Formats: sequence, structure tokens, C-alpha cells
Amino acid sequence: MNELRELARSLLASGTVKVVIGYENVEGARWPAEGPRGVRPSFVTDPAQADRLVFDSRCVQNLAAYLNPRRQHLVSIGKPAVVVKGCDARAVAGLIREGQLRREDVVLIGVRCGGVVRDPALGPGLIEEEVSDRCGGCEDREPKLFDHVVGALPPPPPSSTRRADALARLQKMTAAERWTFWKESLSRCVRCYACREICPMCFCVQCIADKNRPQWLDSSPTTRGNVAWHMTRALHQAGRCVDCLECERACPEGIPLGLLGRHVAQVVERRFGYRASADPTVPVPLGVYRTDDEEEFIV
Amino acid sequence: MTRAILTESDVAKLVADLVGAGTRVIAPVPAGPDWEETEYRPIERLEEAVLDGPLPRRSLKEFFRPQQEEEGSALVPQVILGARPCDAAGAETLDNVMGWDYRDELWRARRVVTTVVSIACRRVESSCFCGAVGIAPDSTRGADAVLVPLDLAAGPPPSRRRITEQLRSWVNMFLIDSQPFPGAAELQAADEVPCAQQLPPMRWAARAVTLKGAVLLRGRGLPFTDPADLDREATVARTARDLVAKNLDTLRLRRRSERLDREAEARLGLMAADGGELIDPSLAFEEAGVRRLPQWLAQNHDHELWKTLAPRCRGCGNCSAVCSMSPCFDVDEHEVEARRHSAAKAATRGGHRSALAPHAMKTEHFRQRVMHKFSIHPRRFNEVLCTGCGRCSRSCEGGMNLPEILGQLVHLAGPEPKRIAT
Repeated sequence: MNELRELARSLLASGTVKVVIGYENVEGARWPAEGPRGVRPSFVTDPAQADRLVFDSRCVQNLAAYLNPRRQHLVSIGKPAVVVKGCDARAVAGLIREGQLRREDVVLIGVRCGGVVRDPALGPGLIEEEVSDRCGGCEDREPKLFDHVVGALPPPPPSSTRRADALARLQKMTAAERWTFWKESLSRCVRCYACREICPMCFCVQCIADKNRPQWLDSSPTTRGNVAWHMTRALHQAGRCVDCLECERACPEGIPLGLLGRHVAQVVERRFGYRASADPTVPVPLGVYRTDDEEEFIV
Repeated sequence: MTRAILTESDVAKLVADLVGAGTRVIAPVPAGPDWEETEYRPIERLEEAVLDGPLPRRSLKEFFRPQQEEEGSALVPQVILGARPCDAAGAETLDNVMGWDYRDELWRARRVVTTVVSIACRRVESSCFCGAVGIAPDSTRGADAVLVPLDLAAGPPPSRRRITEQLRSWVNMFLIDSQPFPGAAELQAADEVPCAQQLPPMRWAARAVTLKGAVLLRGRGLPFTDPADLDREATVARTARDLVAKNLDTLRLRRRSERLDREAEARLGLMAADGGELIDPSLAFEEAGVRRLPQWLAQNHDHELWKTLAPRCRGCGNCSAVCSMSPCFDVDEHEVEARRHSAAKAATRGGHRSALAPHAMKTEHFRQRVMHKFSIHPRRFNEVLCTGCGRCSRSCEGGMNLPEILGQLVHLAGPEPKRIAT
């Protein structure tokens, strides 16, 4: 933790960056001790404030989302340094790969990670029931894309097979059963678009959901429109989704969007041999044209 | 005023009678992945409801303004049982907006056919700040009848029987294989013991506030005779108010808790202009926190503070979606009339259906949220557009905390101009 604070302090003091985006305790912000959110994103612009920064297993949020170029008010602060876990770095790589961010415009503070909780209010200890679904089988605990890396590598998180089990059950279902499951889940959607707004990879200047000339999607919260919206988003995220599960956490209706994203990611891996990685030079299947692409499912 | 003591069986009978007569009864029921949360849903029997659980996930607005409805569909009379006082007050505050420049008949019709029975809070969440906006855990505003629990002890937990049922139906519906879910054995064991034996039945002091409430409560329960019950009622209400006051102190939303001198009292609005006490000094005291905001905000549109507040906002709009007071919606008429809860999002994303994106940046968007609640609406309707339910803080993925921000604003706005006490 001290290493992180020292680094943030020196980056700010030397003028290398104007803001360090990290995590802070909510208690420090005068929230009652039993407050609902244990840690929250922190924007440190003053070197003297660097001691606010923390990193532990509660830091589930993907801060790479703040690098999304449509957050103009952040761009106006100046060059940022961002605390990224190995998995969050995949989102940074995604933004760089897709031309939304230049590598030299950001300083990445990689943190070695021992897994995070499902919700920042849980923890700080990690138990099997509370560990985030995305931590199962993580290969990015040691950051791969960074300018500075801090902390010692903590022990791996308790392994949880919750999501793998749920996904396996879904995939074993017949199409009709699966349709019942998704119809039921997606009918709850209220189309607040929190999933889109919070997503680090959703950066389209105009989203298809907002287009009304022509109107592609039924914009009211009907099951038909909801299914169309979530299927469109899942397909647009194919191979691009970094599995940070921000959408699932942000959803006020508790729709298991992570399952949808994970399934699509598995299909992409199987069909195109591609997995969202922290290497910005590897092109994403959706972003390249290859004559040897399999296409028997289209033609 | 109709007053009565209701027991659990009286309320159960009330629910049964209403459901039998074709009325839709809505109450908080267990919800969420671990059934630790609640949400307002129609019920058939009282056992389904958790009248004493945590604050429901969403407010009541969807029952007055459903997100979609078929044109000309019949209105069903509905009774909301166990509304939180903040949610009841929220619906009434929205009446002003929904009947202002355009009289929204659909809203109005639903308000007419709905009876709201609120239950005074015994549990106060750490995010509750109703005291700062002139509401209390036992407010009657917007309610047709109010029930005050007569025991301070924590109420029954979300019915385990209900949870088991829910889990089972969920398992049957989605997870086709028959593997037992975690904790199934313990739940099964708990199932064997009837709930009634574990917990003493609940009792409430019921009070009708409006004619609708009086009609609903007529002939129910026992007369209010035991003076000890009056004490119990007052103790429950006072305890909850104290808990809210503690939250406000933590958030520095309440200035002082000790006795103030006469001048300070006059300044904070503790005393009426003629030197006498206001009817409910505790409310006026706490309300003093936000009283100066409408004017201050209007004069400080470009204050530096806005730039420092907004960065962590991720623009997901959850705060508006869960807000009991956010009156904004998009209209989309397409087979069914749909009114999606919505808020104008920043221009960096198309956002609004009207293609209107009045705010170029997130900073402005967030400022608008605060302005709307604490300046624009109060200047028109003389009341803040916030019930202090704290849902926005709880649902915020970026860790924005409205009461904390209010605390900063109140601090910046300074004390009210000195009043002359005569």
C-alpha cells in the first residue's frame, strides 16, 4: 500500500500525471463505518492526498472505464495514472487496440492481485461465497500491461466454480429451456442502459439503442426490445468483452449479464482462437477481415 | 382520527379480505440473489411479505407510473402495505409535477385508486438521511394510514419458509438438474418449525391519515386503550429518529445536537417568527440544513465544487432509475404505451429519446441532478425533490454519495441570514 502511495505521490509531484485514479476507503469520506460501499474510485490530484489510496481485495471496480474517451470531463483534468489489476489492463489494451486511447496518454500502475470480492461492500477477507465470478481461473494476477507495478503477489483467491456451474447448466439446457431462462431474466430489464454506460468497451458516440431514424431497437422496456438490446450488445462485445462484470454489478435488476458475455467469449475462443488479452497489438476478430474466417454459420 | 391496535392476524385478514375483493395488495417481499433485499411486489398472503425488512430496492413510482401499459387497460384498485414513509412522501411530492403544466390523467387515476399504508421504520440504514430533507422515519406525508410497530426488538427476519419456496421455484424454473442448492438442508430443517412458535406476533399502532385510510381500517383491530402502547409507539419513533440524526451528524448535515442559544435557534428556524416554537421542532431543525440551498445553488452555477464532484460519476443513471422522486421519463408509443424511467444523459452519449442532450459533460449532468432536486424544484414548488431514502448512494457504482455532497453544499452555503426574533 505504501509503495502505491509513494508512487502516486512522486508521479503527481513530478508533474508526470495530473490525476491518479485509484481506490479509496469510503469510511474516509465520512460514511458511517457500516456503510454500504467499502471502497470507491478516487481521483487524487494533490500529492498530499496520495495517502487516500488503498488497494485490497475489495477493489472490484474496473477503473479503466474512466479512460473511455467519452468521459470528456476527465480528459480536461489532464494526463491520468490509473491503478489497474491484470484483468482491468485488458480493457486498457482494448481501448488502445481500437484507437480510443494512445498508450503514451496514460500511466498504468499495475497491481498484483489476489482476487477481489463480488461487491466492494464485502470483504476485506476473501471467502469462496464472496469472491468475484471473474476471478475463477484468472491468469492475469500478475499484470502484463503496465508502466509501474506495485505490491507483492498475494496468494490466489479461493476457487469458486459458481459461474462455471451456472454456465454449464445453461449450456446443457435445450434451446427452449434456455429461451425461457433468458426471456425471464431479460424481461426484468428497465432499459436504464447502466450496463452500457458503465462498460469500459462501450464507447460508440451514438449507440444503436439511441438511434431513432431508423429505429433499430424497440426502445421501450418490452421483452422483445429488451432481448434485442441485450443480444445486440452481447454480439457487439463478442471478443471485446473483458469480463470485468461491471455491467452485472451495475444492473439495478440483477440480470446475469456476465453469463451472456462469458458464453459469447467462449464461442469466440472456440471459433477464432481469440481471448481478450492485455496485449494491444493482437487484433480482435470483430476488428479484422480475414478470408479464412469460418463462415459456414452465415452462408 | 381512526386509531387501533393491529396484530399480525388482523393484518393477515386485511390482506386476505382485500385480495378476495379483487384489490391488488403490494408489499415488500424478499428479493435479490441472497434474498437479503426486498422489493415491492403484489402479494396474495401476508406471509409472503417482509414488513420489517431492509429498504426495498426500488421506490413506489412504478406502481403509479408503470413502465408500460396497454392503452385503455382497466385500473385495478391497489393497496400498498408496508410502504416506507419516504416512499409514501415521494409519491405525494411527485403529484405536483404530474399535475403541473400538464395534468397527467394516468398518474392521477392510479393515485386515486391506490391506498398507501406506510409502516414507520424501525430499521434505519446507514444511507438514510430523511431528516435532512424534512421527513422522518414516522412521517405521515403521502400515506393514507400509518402503522407504528410497538416493539423495538428487531422484527421477524425475511420468512425462511418464503425463502425456501422462492429458492425451490427458482431452482425448478432455471436450474433443471436436481442438485440441492447450498444451504438446502438447513432451510429444510428450519421449515419444520412453524414460524409462529419462534417469534412473538407483531403488533402495530394503526392510525388513519386520510379518509381512504379510515375506510380501510374501519372495524379492524382493537381499540387503542393501553397507555403503555402510546409510550411504546413514541419510543419506536424516537429511536428511529435518533438513528437518522446520528447519520446526519456523521455526514455533518445537522449542525449541532446540543441546546442552542436563542439567537442561534432563531437562525436555524427552530423558533417561529413570533418567538414561539414551531409545531414540530425536530423536523424544522433538520430541514434547516438544506433550506438555504435553493438560493445558493442558483447563484453558484459555476462553482469550482462541481468540477471536483463529478469525476467519479460513471453515468450509469442508476441514481435516477432507483430515485423515488425522479419524475423524468421517455414516452414511446408502440403497441403498448411505454414510459421508461429516464434521465437526460450527457451529450457524450446520445441518451435521450428526443435526441436532446442538454449537458455537454458529465460535470454539468451531475450538477443538473443536484440543481433539479435542491434548487429548481424547490423554487417552484417550495419543497425539495428528495426524500432522503439514500437509494442513489447505495446503488452508485462510482461511490457518489448525495448526503455527503449535500453536507459539503450546506457547509458552503453557510448559515441562513439572521432572522429577527421578536
